[in-house]
Amino acid sequence: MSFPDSADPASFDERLSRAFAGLDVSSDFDALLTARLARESEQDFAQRLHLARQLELERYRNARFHASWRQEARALLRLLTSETAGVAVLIVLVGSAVWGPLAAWANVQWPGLSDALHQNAAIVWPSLLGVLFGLAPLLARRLRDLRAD
Amino acid sequence: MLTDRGVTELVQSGHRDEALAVVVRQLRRKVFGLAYSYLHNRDAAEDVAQEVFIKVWRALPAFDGRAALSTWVYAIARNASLSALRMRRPQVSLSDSAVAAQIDSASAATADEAQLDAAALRRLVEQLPLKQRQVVTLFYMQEQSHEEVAAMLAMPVGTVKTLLHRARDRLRQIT
Repeated sequence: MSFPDSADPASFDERLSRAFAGLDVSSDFDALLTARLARESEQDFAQRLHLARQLELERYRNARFHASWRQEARALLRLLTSETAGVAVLIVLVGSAVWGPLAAWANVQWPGLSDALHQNAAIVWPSLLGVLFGLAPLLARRLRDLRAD
Repeated sequence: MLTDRGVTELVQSGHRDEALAVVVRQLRRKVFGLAYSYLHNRDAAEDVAQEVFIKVWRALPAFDGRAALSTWVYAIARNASLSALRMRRPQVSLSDSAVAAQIDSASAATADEAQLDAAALRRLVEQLPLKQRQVVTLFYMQEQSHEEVAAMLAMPVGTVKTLLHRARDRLRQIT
């Protein structure tokens, strides 16, 4: 079996052209594509909405966290008044007063501790004072809360 | 006909659907042809063509215009067609002996017909090795332009001509 004109290249070309030239998408291609696109568009919109909501929630959480941290810091700074400074000085004085007997007792309990403290006094005492001054506002707030109760 | 820049401007101004409509109008038949050249099945090719345009629609905002729009769309179409082909026929054997056997059976199947019609001729083309099949299909679908076929298949024009020549010879031998 053969094409009647298969030996003739021009005719064979024409037959191949006829076989493929008519191939095209069906008439409802655009309508189907539009429908598919609408579905995709809806999904795309829903996804973008979901993403936007998540981002907004994340931003809100961050803002709330930072705001609460800043509020806390401001509240502590407000408590740094002459009253709290007084509390801190009082703590230092009390500490100094009890330090002598406490050091003697500690020396008996842990020999060598006193020497170690003396050797590292440049670090230990400022650190201790810093902690005490730092704790003073918290203690002052606690005292106020107790007074309020 | 809108240029690539025009399409990009439409997308940038928030008219992605209109931009896609332009792309579809300009490249619908070519994308369908490209998919058909892989799959040789009208319904499957249409399905792939639709999928390609959906992908184009999704990716249009990222199109930067560095390559021609058609080149970009053809690349998407080739990938989608290959995926469809792999899903349809996970193990395709296109050895010469197998093809020859298929061609013989296809010829025999049409032996009783007085004349091979277009559908029968397409069936014969279907039995050619993939690249020859693609070149023949696209060449005769796309107004016989070697350059256009080369652009669609991302092949040098010389390769297209060689494949076409071999395919024609083979088809003449079996008809």
